[in-house]
Amino acid sequence: MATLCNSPLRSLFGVSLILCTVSIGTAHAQGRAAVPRLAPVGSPVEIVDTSERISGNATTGLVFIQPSDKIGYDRLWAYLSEPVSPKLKLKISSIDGRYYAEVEYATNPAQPGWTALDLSLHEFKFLEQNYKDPMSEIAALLGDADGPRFYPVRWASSHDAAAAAPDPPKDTDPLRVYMNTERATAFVVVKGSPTYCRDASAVSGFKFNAICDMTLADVRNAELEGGRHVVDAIEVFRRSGVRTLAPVTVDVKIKY
Amino acid sequence: MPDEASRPPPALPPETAAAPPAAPVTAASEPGLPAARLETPKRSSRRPLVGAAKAIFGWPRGHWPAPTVTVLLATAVVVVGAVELLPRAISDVTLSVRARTEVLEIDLDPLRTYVWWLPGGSYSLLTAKAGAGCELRDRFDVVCPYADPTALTIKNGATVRFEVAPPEATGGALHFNAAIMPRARAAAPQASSGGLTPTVAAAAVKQPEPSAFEVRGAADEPLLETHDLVTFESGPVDLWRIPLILRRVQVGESLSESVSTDSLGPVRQPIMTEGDVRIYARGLGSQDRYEIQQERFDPADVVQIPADPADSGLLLGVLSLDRSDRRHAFDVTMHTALAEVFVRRLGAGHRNAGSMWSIVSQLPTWAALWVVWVSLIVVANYHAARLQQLQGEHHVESKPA
Repeated sequence: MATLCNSPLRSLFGVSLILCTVSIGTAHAQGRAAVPRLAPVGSPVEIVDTSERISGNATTGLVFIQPSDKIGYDRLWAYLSEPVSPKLKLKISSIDGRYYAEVEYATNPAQPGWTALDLSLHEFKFLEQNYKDPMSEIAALLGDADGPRFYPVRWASSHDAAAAAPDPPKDTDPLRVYMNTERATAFVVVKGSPTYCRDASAVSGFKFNAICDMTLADVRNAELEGGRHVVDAIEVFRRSGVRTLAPVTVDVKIKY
Repeated sequence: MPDEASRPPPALPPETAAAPPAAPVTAASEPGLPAARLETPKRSSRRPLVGAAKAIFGWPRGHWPAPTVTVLLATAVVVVGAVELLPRAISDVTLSVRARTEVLEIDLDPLRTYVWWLPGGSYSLLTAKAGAGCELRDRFDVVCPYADPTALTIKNGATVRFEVAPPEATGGALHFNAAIMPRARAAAPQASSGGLTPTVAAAAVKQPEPSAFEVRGAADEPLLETHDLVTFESGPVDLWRIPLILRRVQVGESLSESVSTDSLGPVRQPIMTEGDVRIYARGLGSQDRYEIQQERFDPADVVQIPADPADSGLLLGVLSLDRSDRRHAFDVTMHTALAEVFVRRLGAGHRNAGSMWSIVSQLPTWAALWVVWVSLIVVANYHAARLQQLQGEHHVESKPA
């Protein structure tokens, strides 16, 4: 008797389970389809637990920072502005040089705006487990594979959970530049006055030592493109003792 | 405990077996034997606990509070463990740091006004008001050389980095550089953590006054005034010293393997060459202060006080530079009531704070306490052995012939 009763119940449950799975899958697929996405080209390079040298006076990261942001293998988004190079390279460095990764992407056709970056990194957990303040200790830099231009990225919501890309940038959005200044004092100019970059590293063998925080409005070039919101370069000034060193220009174009 | 008395006694340890003659063990145990066979499982599971209690305290057979060897040893272990839990404040711990270093970074107290006499040299500024004898070399590059000593006034705090110039760059003469960085401005996105939290932003907005720097000549005439970064390169120095009243200090700097030579010319990484920390405490209830711990630093160690950046305290000391000692390094001495230093070594780091053990173990009363304790253990052990012997003789006498 129990078997007879259970049989239709089981089939009903099975059907509802299939329907549920199909609907979740469809919603998931719609979510994934809603946001542009770049998949890695070729195998990523990942170096873990060694100390990598880096040349000085180099930009090592350009990241939008929001209070809710946190790192994750499926949380990295790039904000692309035209013209977008057909080939991009992402570099992720930890402050002490114990983690370094390079991932290449092909962008054809170019898609301006927020784009999800698939990381496909096997050792990403190393970053999640070893750094207490990842937003200050892990730098991500997306740039042209064959050129000097950079594109800002952001550790926002998970790609899979996101029904849509993050909100478009606005003037008040904080932007962070990670830089190796070789211990020179660095600053950016905001409204004509210096705003100092803070020391990022107290440890030896650092990949970057200065973190420069600013908002988009601070570095926006109001004279370009008829007053449209454009950041076309970020100039980082450096002082070593009483000497003024040549400023480092972060080659970036952000249209928002 | 009537039922306890009727039960057979467990095998007693020597010290608990040493019962007074008024309560002979054999007399109590023999009638209890049949009852033991009828015990419920619950009661039998309690027996080991009762046995343990008897072994430790001699309870409930009336030995307590007579100290047993076990009790004394257990108490000693507890006391040793508990000493480390005592607050260091009761011993008024202070520490002194002495170091020879080529580089030093300090945070000044924002509530104080500092006036430092600097030897003749050259100031370099990003922006400056007034500026007699200054040259604007480029955007954010004003240079003001002064042959005579000048007085630098610092208000509302700053972070100052002192570095001895390498002798090869100065022809063997003793020079030093100072970089005086203003405190972070309210408008600047903060700083200490990765996220720009509203709390942190609010804290930054509450910041009182921006740092202010002023340079005056020997006749108190104003020379410069600025709120931005000031760097100073001294001329040759014979003897120079200033008092230090600080909120934070970092002695030395980590060596970096990532420094190239492209724009800075020959790179010389300044380090702390030698130093030590000595930790002092005051005896409980005494005015005498004694050294409880000392650590020598290795070259290239980095010493931070306070150990935890969130801690707040005052450090007092002297910073001096003397050509006659031919070391080309600052001599720095500091004293503070902060009881902990953080020492960062290449690839590792550790904290050093006087442990309560090191404080207490040097007290004469503590030594006396241990003498009494050990004597008690010896006496208790002697009596336990003696009573066991008496009990053995009693058994032999009470056996039927």
